[in-house]
Amino acid sequence: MKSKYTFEKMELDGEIVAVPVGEGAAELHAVLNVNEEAMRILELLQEETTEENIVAQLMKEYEGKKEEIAPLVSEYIRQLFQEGLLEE
Amino acid sequence: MEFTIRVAQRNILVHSIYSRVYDLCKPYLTEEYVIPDIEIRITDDLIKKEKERILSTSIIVTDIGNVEWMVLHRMISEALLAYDTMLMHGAVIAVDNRAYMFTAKSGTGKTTHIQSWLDNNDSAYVVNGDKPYIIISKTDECPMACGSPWAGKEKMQTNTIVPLKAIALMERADENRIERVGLAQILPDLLQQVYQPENREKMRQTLTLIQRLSKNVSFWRFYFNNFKDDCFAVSYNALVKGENE
Repeated sequence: MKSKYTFEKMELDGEIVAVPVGEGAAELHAVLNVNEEAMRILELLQEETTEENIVAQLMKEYEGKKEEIAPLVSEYIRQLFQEGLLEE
Repeated sequence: MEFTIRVAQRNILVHSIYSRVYDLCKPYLTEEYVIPDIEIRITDDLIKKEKERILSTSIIVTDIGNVEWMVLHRMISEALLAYDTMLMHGAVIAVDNRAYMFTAKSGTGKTTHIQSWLDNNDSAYVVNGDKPYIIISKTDECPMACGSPWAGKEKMQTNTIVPLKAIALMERADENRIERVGLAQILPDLLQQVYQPENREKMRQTLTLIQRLSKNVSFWRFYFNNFKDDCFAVSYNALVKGENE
């Protein structure tokens, strides 16, 4: 799976937003309110990847346990699919 | 042709092929030799690529000089990012050494609205009616709105720079109303009126500049009806007089 859009990180009033840029960004016409972890997932989704790969990468970067990280990743990916932001 | 223009406080040495570009740049020509900050060399290959880009849109351009004009605009806009300057689509009007930008999709009514400012205030003048450059420095200085040769079909522009105080995003409505908003609330719409380079690093620079804007510039949503008598007063009283804060 992969993100349909390219996102850049931007800080606004202390919050992080993911800004779609490049091809197709105009039709999305929205920015995503995210935290650091969600932004990292979006970054990893810029290239073709799997949910397992994302979980493994976040476990390394955040030194977290699989049972903590995997459900959060799974839920976020589900939301992204629901919003039409990902493609298989 | 080789000539130098000064735009957004930068000296730009231009090597063009067709004379139309020189003619359109005349209000911004430097009078004597200056050391260039930026050098732009337009080639047949760049013009060809721009034509291909145009063909993929709904824009119809038949004059090759106009294509070169678009190439120059794109190259200067990309080069100016290195000088903390970005290109926006909007009409900028100045009153008492303060600039106010109205931005919206083409055809919404920006020009008609700024004309109402000109009609109601003798000291008002247009900085740029279509594509102003905005200098947003790293310091706490106010962003500066700059005139440029790219001023739309009405060619409303003044070769000047003025502190930018407010950006109002316009949207047609039945009644006139204006409200102050934060950058976060207006960002998706604002992004559609900002020149977005294809290069990722330059796009990051553009987002950094947008972020800096919020330090000294207020953002507004202006729901307007140019046919109602209070249209000018609603925007002017809010943006210039500070009412409706």
